[in-house]
Amino acid sequence: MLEAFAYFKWELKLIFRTGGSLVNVVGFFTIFVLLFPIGISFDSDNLSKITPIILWISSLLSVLIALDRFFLLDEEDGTLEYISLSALPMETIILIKMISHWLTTGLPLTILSPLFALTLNLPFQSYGWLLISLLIGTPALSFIGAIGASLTLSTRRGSLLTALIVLPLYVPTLIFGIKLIELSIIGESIISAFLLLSATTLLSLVIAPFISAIAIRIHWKY
Amino acid sequence: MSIWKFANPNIFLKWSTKVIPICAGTALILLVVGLVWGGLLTPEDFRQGTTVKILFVHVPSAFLAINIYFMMFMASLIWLIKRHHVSALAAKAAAPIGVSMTLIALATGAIWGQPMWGTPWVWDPRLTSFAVMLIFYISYIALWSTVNNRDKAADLSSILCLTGSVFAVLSRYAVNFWDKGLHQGASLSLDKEEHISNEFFFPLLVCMGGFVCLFLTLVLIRTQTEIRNQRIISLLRTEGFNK
Repeated sequence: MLEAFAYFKWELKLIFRTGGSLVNVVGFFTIFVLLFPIGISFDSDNLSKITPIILWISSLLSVLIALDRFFLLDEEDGTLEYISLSALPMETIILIKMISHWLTTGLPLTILSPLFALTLNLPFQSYGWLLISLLIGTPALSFIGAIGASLTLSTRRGSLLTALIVLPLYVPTLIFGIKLIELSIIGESIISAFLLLSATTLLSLVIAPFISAIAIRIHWKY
Repeated sequence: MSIWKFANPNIFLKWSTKVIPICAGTALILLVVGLVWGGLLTPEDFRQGTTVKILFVHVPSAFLAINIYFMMFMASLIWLIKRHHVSALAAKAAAPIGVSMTLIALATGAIWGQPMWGTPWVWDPRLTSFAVMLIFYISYIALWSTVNNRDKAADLSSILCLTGSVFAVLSRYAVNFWDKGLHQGASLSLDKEEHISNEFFFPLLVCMGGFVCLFLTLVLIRTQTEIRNQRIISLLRTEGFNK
């Protein structure tokens, strides 16, 4: 437990001190959000209908772009192999990496999302649900992303392949997350979408560390 | 003597060479009978007219598109548990056929949809889940082709297939939640109300049998090719060629 906590602290410190990664994610998020109104129209009535879609797809793509550094950097300089020799099981290491990845991608986007929602005319009653939707939905993006990143670890320059693998896996999360906000906009009960979104996140939390651990062991085996 | 004996590549090559002509012949007969019966001898639907006959290609290909993924799931599972190389190669061989079947189902649906729905494509749950499934197939094939080591590629793509099927099922029901669709419900079911009339049902059954036999033929041929391909590669390696 103590080792896990130490590794978690070290991992976070590393991400923050490498610098730029947090700025990158937020920057990409801003650009994606900016592109949608330019592409569609500046008509604010039109825009408020698709605000949840814009915010969700922007955060999805920002997380996707940040998936590159999930395992690759640690694998290239041998850190991952070194840590795997410690008392921590591979699954725990990946769980910690997933959580720290979410803390540096999904969480900042969630915190910033109301600000962007303001520019996109989200109806007032939906701000809370927007936060909740992204708060319980974005972890699933990092968890599922870990699967994709570990599967493509053996391929050089596999980031395109990672996107191809991960994007279809994101479909349920995206649907439930957007539906939650949309239901809150039209003032209906959100409980079904809320429960399904939580279930998706919990499912990916349960299966992702094990699948990624198996994939990384395969990567080292051959 | 167990069923796993047949998974030995040598024995597989032997029995599949015998089975392929039988499968191909059955496929040919069933497809000709089914398509002629369905295409020429069934009455026209009172509302859809003659366009209803695209059903005899659309339903079997859609049926196969889903079940080929299931077959790949089983083959991947067998590869991961029992480590039979033929199993991994069969999954690899089946994937492009799955892509073709998905594309055929989407194309015939679009051709039928233009006169009937007035649009070739709607973002309907069934159509969308087929589009998602197409990406599942493509990512599976892409992973196979990018990893150099064969066993590693087999392992990783098997895991992708298993993970993918969990999320494919989830997506299938998620899109139902997302939107109510234009596509009709299941036409082939035990429920009398939804079942299509016998006039169409029996030729459709023949067509589906023909498509399944066609798939078996193709997958056996492709698996044989894969096995021989691997043998050539290992032969070249022992002979000292760098490939």
